[in-house]
Amino acid sequence: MSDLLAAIDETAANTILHDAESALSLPPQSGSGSLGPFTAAWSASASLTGGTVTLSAPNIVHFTNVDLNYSVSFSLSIDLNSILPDFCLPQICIPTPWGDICTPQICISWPTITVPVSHSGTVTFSADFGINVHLTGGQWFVDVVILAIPSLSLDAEAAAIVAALGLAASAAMLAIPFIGPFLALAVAAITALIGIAAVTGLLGPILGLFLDGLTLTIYQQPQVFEVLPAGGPFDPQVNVLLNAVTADVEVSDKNELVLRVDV
Amino acid sequence: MTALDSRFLQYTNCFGHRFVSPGLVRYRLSTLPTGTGLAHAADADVFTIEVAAEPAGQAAKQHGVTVRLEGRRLVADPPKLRIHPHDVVIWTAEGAGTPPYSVLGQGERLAFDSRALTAGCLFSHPFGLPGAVRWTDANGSGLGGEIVVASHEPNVDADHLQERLSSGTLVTVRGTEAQPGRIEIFVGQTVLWLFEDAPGVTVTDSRLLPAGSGAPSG
Repeated sequence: MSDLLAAIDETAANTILHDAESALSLPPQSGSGSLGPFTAAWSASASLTGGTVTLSAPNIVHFTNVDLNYSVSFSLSIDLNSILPDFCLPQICIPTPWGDICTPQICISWPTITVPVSHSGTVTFSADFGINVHLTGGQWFVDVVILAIPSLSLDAEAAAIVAALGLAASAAMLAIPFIGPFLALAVAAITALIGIAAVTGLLGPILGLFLDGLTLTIYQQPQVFEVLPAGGPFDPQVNVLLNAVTADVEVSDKNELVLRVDV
Repeated sequence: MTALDSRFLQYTNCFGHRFVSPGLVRYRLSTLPTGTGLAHAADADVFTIEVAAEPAGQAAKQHGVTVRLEGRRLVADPPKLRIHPHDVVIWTAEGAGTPPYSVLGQGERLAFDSRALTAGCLFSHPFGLPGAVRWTDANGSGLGGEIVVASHEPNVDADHLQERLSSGTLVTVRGTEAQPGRIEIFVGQTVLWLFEDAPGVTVTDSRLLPAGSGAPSG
């Protein structure tokens, strides 16, 4: 029999989990990866909002319809020579009073462009969390920890990113001399080469980094628990030591998250 | 790569000169925006054009010289030319990696400098971006004009595009007057300036000059 016992129902669990979401700070991530034949440097940040909590015995917290709000920036380096045809200004001959003056054929080498794209979006997911109680640094923590990275539906997000990449590539190429007649071709080639699958293939693992091991702290308590404050110089405060804490889900007339403490 | 400025000849530009009088012309290639010509040039950096005394038995010819970087030196290929009176020599850079340069020449009866265009000079420039370009003389003669560069239609076919790019427009300069003063072309088309007479001018995009410069110097 435990010395102390606390319990919350699912309504209270929702409140606590949403508070934990607000307090959660997911560290930003960065790296590089492939977008089709191109290499992209990326950086990303994310936060969680919303969702509904239900509890299942013995120790599962179901979190459904959670919004993963993310911002991701890509920087693509694209060698236009790899996607555009060779282009040469033809030799031209202009009649002049001094006879025809001819300029030589001039072949243009397309540059490598950098295409920056930023995109913010929201992906909704559902996942099961386990309960993890641990004593760290003199504090008892009750955490819920994601059990498996859920599958994310990213096609709509990827389509938006591909469209943004096309626009950004077009803007980046506008300043390139002589590209005018090839601009539409270049944008079409870039978006086709990248494609939705490639964006999904990169975005999924990026967002997975935020979900991998996702932990929400729903309760924390110093191991030394003050029971009575000091009453005077000869009446010190009274503490108890929380020796053990456990948490699980119990089913009665309603499902409750129950915390048991041994003093 | 495509800034319009005859003072700095680039890969897409051509500079030319029509040689009328016989004699030996020595010239050098410079990457410097200013300089005094041939006075301090080493022999290896001096190239020659020998204009024969006798006129050719046929129409005037055009000769090409390629400017390329050899180590840290600009060299002319071929380094020596023998031409006939009224022939034209056209200098072009070997590739996009050739640094901007100028051509400075001196003969018994003539001197020319691509940074200050005079009678007998030619300068060509293909326009790579759409928009209106007001060109002027950076040396302040008041010479100038406008070139309106239009984009191609989105559905222009390759043959039509090639045909368009194969035509150029001539601007003739007499003194400080350019004819025509305003021209309309498509992206990729070339304009050739021919200087029948000029007081040492440039063809420079006015946006490259400080505000207020390029106006008549008085």
